Amino acid sequence: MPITCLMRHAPYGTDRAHESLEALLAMAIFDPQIHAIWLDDGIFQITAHHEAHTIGRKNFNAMARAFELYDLSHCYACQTSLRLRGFGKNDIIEGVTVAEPDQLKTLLHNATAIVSL
Amino acid sequence: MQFAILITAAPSHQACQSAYRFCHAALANGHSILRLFFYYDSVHIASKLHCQSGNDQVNSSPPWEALIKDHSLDAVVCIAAGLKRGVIDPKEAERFDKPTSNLNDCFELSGLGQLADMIITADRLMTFGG
Repeated sequence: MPITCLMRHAPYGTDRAHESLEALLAMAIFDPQIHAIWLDDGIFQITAHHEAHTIGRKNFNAMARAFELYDLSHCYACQTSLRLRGFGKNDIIEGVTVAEPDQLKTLLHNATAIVSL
Repeated sequence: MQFAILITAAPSHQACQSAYRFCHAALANGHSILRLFFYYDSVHIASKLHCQSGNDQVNSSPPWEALIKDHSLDAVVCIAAGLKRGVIDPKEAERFDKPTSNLNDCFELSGLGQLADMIITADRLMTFGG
């Protein structure tokens, strides 16, 4: 029964998403089964081809490549959040599975703790 | 029930008041709090330099201090979030060659491992400001 992190904030504009990802990766060390779900504006964290250097920020895509390094293998994107923002499964980075509402419901139901980051 | 409390909102945010009131009510009803973990902008709560600027202003720090001391709570401020926002203890002030520190003595700076540990150990996690 895993900890499940909800990644809900846009990647740039504030440090919030950056620190969310740091917390997720830190917790992955303690709970190898940890799940992460990107939803709402958090979806923008996992879209591909960011050009963050144009606004002087660290590229989120580079940070997301750490998923493999941390054995973070349970990564999901909310299908509804993607669709509402005009994205499909081909617009997001590798290693993240698109989850339908019923699947998300099951993931949340099975979580020991839900951490809203 | 043993609660783990994660606070992420800035002191001016209503979520901080809600967190304080929840902790107060939980303790008054016989529950325990394993740890308070302050992350993101909530780390400003741990600064001892907050001032009450007017009679009608609510100061978010003093009630936390009393609650933490009265119940001997473990109050942890994320060290990375604290450093970034200038909330530091004497040890970090020395390490980064700063002229002073401002962390209230009832709080402690520590790493994200403390967050993971409390989530795994406590019966239930409550997040305020998520």
